[in-house]
Amino acid sequence: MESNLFSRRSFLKMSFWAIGLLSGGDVAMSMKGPWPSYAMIIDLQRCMGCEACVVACKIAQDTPYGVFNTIIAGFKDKFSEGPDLFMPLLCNHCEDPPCQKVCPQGAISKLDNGIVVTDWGLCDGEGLCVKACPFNARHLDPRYSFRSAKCDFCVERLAKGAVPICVETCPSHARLFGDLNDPLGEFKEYLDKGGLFSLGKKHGLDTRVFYAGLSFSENRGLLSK
Amino acid sequence: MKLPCVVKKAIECLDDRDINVIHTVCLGCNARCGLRCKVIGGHVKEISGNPYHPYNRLGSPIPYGTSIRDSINIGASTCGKPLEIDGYCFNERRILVPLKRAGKRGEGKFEPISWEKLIEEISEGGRLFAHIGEDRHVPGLRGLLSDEPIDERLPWLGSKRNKFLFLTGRLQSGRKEFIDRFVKSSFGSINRIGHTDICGLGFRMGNFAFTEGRQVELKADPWNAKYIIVFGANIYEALQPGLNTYGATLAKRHSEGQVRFVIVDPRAQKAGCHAHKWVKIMPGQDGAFVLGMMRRIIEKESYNIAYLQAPNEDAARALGNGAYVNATHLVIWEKGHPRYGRFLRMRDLITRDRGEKDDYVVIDELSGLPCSFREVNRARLFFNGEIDTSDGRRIRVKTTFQIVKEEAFRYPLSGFARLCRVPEEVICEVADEFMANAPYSATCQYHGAGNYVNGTYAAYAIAMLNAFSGSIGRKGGYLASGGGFGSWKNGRYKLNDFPGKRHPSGIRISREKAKFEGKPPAKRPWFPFTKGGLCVEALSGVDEAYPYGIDVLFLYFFNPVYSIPGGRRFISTLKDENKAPLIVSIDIGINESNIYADYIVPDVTYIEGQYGWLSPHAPGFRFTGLRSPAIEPVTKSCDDGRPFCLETFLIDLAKRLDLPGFGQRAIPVVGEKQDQMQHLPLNRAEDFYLRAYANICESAGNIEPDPEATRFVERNYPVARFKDILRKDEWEKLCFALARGGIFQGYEKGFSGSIFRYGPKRFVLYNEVLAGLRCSITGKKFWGSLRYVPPVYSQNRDYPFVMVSYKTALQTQSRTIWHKVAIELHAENHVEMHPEDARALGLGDMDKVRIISPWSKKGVVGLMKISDRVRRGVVAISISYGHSQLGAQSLWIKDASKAVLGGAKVCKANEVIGNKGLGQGVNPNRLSALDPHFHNTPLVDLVGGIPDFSSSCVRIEPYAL
Repeated sequence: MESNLFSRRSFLKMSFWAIGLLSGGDVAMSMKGPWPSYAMIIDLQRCMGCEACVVACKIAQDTPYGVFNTIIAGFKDKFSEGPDLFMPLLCNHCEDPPCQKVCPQGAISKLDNGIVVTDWGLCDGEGLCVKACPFNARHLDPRYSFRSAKCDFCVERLAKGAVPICVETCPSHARLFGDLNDPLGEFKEYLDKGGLFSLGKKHGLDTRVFYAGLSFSENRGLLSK
Repeated sequence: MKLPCVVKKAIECLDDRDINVIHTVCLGCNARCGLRCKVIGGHVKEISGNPYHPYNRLGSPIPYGTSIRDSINIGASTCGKPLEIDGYCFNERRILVPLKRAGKRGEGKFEPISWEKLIEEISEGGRLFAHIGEDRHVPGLRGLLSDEPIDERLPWLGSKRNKFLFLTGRLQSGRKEFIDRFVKSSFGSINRIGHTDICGLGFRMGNFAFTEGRQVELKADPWNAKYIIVFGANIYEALQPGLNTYGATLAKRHSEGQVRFVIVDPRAQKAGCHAHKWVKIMPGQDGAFVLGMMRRIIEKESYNIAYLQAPNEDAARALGNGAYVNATHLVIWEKGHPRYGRFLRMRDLITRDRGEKDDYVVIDELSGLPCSFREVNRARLFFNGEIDTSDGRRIRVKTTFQIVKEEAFRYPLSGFARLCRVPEEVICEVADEFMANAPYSATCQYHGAGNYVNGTYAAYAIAMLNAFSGSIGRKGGYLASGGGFGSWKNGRYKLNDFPGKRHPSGIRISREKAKFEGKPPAKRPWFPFTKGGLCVEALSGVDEAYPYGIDVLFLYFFNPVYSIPGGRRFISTLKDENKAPLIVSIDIGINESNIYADYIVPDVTYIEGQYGWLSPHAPGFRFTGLRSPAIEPVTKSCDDGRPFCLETFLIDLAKRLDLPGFGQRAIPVVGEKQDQMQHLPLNRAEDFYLRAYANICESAGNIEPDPEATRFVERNYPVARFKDILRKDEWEKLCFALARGGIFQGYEKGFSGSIFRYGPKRFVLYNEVLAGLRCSITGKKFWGSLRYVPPVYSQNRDYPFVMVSYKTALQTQSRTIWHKVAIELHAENHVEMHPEDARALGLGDMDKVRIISPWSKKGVVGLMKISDRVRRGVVAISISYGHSQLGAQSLWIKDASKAVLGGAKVCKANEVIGNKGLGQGVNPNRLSALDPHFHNTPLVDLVGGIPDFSSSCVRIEPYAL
C-alpha cells in the first residue's frame, strides 16, 4: 500500500508559518463554479479532537485498514505556550488539483460544484495522483485493484440534501459546510468575519477547506510553570 | 462516472425503501445521549443523533411536538463510540449460549450447557463439577431461601437470603428495577450492590455532604455559565453528559467568547487546547487548592454576601436562586455540651414565641438577636459568641461560615500553594476571576475530584465554592439534574408491588449505610455516611467473609478484576471456592473477571434490548429517554422464542424457585372498574418494561396518541411485535414517545426566570449527621465541614511518580476494546510523562518501558509518550487497554464455533483463537495501591468507601528482558 500521511501513525504537526492566511477576498476568488459551490470551514477553537468525525467517515466511506479520509492532527501554535490545538485534515478540494493534472487516464475531475472526484471506471491504480497531492489526502485501495480514493465531501449525501457525515457527526459544530455562492447561517458568519486560512497557500493552491480560530482568542494564555 | 461511494455502496443508507429508522438511547457510555439508528437487513448501518434529544443538539432539541416526517431531515451529533455499535454487537467473540466451567476456575475452559440445565443447576446446586474432579457440594439459590438468621448470635445481619450477592457493573434504570425486583423484592436479599464507588464516588460524596444526601450529582451549567472551574472532569473525552453535550457546548461557547473554563488537573486533557488556564495540580490536592481560593476570597471579602446571608429558601429565591445555603445557621460549639457539634434549634433558646421548636437559629443582621432562620431575610455571616439557652447554660455557638473560615485560615496561602504545588498567584487569579463572574461562575467536578482516600473533604470543598459565588440553583450556576418524567411503578400497572413481596433487611456485605456498634477497630470499615454502591468493599467483604460469608455471587455486566484499581487482588477471592462457592456472570463476552465464573449467561447489547428509562445527568435538563431495540437479539433463544439474556434468565430462575412476582400472576393491574385488581403475567422482558413505559407515558402528561407516530413505530421498531401487551390507547401513547426516543423538553422549561425549578432547595456548609458519626476503625468522630486532609501517598526515591488514569474519547472502561475503528486509530495506550521527567530518566518518545509499583514488582510493560499535557512528577495512563481477556487470549470452549458469534472465523475445534491486538497497551489498575492494614485489599477511604485512583506511586524503567 502506498504510504499515506492520513494513516494512523502519522500525525502532522505544522507550524503557524506553514500555512498562509487567507483574506475574505481570497475566499471570493475561489468561487469559480456555478451554483452550488461547496466548501468547508473548520473552527480550531471548537474542535475537541474527539475523532467522532474520523470514526463516522471511516464507517460510512469504508476506507482500507489503517487509512482514513480525514484525521485529526495536532497543531502547534507558536504564539501560544499551551498544548496543541486539534486540526482536522482532509482533501482540500483544490481549484487546480495537482492530482488531476498527473492522471494519465483522466479519471480525476473537478466538478462544477468544486468537489474533486475520482472515476473508478477510469482509474487504473497507478497512483501518480497519490504522490502528486501535497496534502497526502489520497490513498490506493487494495481491495479495489488499488484504485485511488479520498474525501469527496460525501457527494452521495449531498445529492440527497444531507451534509457530509463528518459535519453531521461533529458534536461541537467545529465543521461547517456550505455553498460559497449562497452562504447561510454560521457558515456565512464565518465568511463575513474573515481571518480564515487555508493549507493551500504554501503550495500556491486555492482550496475549499478553510480554517478559523487560530489563537486569536483571548483564551490562549495557558499557565506553564 | 463510477464514484467510489457507489462501488462501495456507501449510498445505501440514503435510499429509504428498505431502511428501518429507530430512535433510541445510547449505552456507548452512561452519558445517555439519544441515537437514530438506520437498520438494513438486521444490521445498524448508520448511526446519528436523535434531534428530539437535548444531548444530541447541544441542549437545543427540536420542539417535542415536531412531526417525525419533519424530524427525519434534521441532523444531530454523537461522539465516536455508538458509531461502532454494529461491530460491537456482532463482535466475533460474543457468546451466544450459556457456558459452564469445564476446568479449574480461571483456566479458561468452558462448555455450552442447555438453558434448562443452567436454570436447574444454579437453582438447586449439587455436586455440579464432580465430572471434572471437584468433590464439593455447590450451593444453589434454593438453599438460601430461608428466613433463618445467618448467625443466630447476630440476628441483625439478616437472613440467609443475604448470602446471595448480586454485583452490578454498568446498570441503568430499567434493568436496575428488574434486577432489584428479583434480588430484593422476590428473593429477599439485601445484597444488590452497584459500582458507584469506582464510577466516581469521591465527587458524589462531596455533594452528598453538601445536600444532606438529597443529590450527589451537580455541575456548572455549560449553557449559561461564564466561568467554570473543571476539577477532574475530562470534558472533551468523557464526563456525563458526555463530550457530545457538555464538552461540545463549552467548546462552541468558548469559540464565541461566551465562557472561560479552567482545568484543574494533573493532565491538561484534550480540553487544555481551549482552556483559559490549566492549573497543574498534584493528584489528591484539590482540597488545598480550593481552601487557598477560599482564603483569598474571604480575605478580599469578595464572596457573594447577599447569597450567603440569605438564611432560607424564600430569601434565596428573592435573589434569583433556587436554593439556599446554611452559611448563617448556628452550630453548638461548647465542649462537653451533649449536642456539641449539632445545630442550635429554636427549642434551645430561652423564650421564643415565634418559629417552630426544631427551626435552625440565626443571628438577625439588623437586631443582632437570635431568631428562627425562617423569620429574617438576612442574617449574620460571621458569629462566634455565647448565647443563653433554655436549660440555663450560656453556650458558645458559631455560624457554619465561621467554621469554614477558620479552616480556610488554618494555613497561609503560601502553605496551600506548596501543598498543591500551584503558584500562589495562580490561586489568587482563579479565585478573583471566579468571584468577578459570580453568580455565573460554578464548578464542574467529576471522577478525578475526590476519587481518593479522604476525597470526601476535597469534593465537599469544591462543591462549597458555588456557595461563595452564589450560583447554586440558578441559570448559569451549579445545578442538579431536573430528573425524569413520570413514574415507572405507579399507574395502572403496579410494578413495584406484588403478592408476597419481600422487604429485605440486615447488613450489606459492603457494610454501606450501616453503623458499626462494636468497639473499634472493626475488622473492616463500616460506612454509615455514604451514597453507597460499594462494589470494592463488597468484594473485600466476600474475601474476608466479613461480616458474613456469601454462597452465591452474580456478576452483571461487570469486570471488577479489570476495572477496580487493584482489582487483581480479587482474583484469589474469585478463585477460592470457599469464599465464593457459586459464581454466575451475565455478560456479552468472557472478560478478566468472569473467566473465574462457574457459569456465564449470554446477554444482549443495548441495540438488541437493555430496555430502560434514562433521566438526565446534572446539570439542568428534565427528560426521560426510552431505550428500545433497533434489531432483534443476536443471542440464541429458548424454545418459546425468548432470547438468552438477563431478563429471561432471572424470570426462569424465579419460576423454577417459585419466587413471587414472576410467572403467571405477577403484575397487579387496575381493572376496568377501579376497585378490581387483576394479575398479569411476567414471563418475558417486555411484560415488565412495556408496562413501565405505559405508566411513564400516562403519568408524564401531555402525551396524546398520534397516528403518524404509531405508523412510524409499527413500521420500524422491533418492539412493535409486543404491542398486545398494552391496551390500544396505552400503546398509541407510548408510540408517541418511542417514535421520539423518549419524553423531552427544552432547557428553558427547567427555569422560572433565573431560578432552577428542580433539585435540592437547601445546601449545608456543615453536615451535622457526618459530624455526629464515628470512624469504625479509629473510633474518632468525623469532621463535618470544610477541612484540608492530606492525600495518603508519598513519593520517594524508589517510586517517584504519582499515577493517574483517564478515559479517552473513543473508549469506555473495558467493553469498548471491541470497537474496531477505535483500535485501528489507537492500537494501544501509552505511559504519558512530562518531557523534563523523561529527560531526567533518559527516556525517549515511544521507548518501551516497565512501570513498577510497590504492589506490582513485576510491573507492566508499555510505550512511553512524552507529553507536555502531563505535569511533572505524574504519569498518566488511559484505561480500556491492557486486556488479558475479551479475546486477547485463546480459550477452550467445547464446540467453540457454535458458542461464539464469529464461528469458524475465530474458532478451531474447541478453541476460540486469541487476538493479541485486543491485548495491546497497559491497564493502570494493575499497579494500584493495596491496603496492608486490611489484608492487602484495594485501598478505600474510611469516610464514604471511595476507592483510590490517585495515590499509587510508580517508577518507570527502560524495558530490558
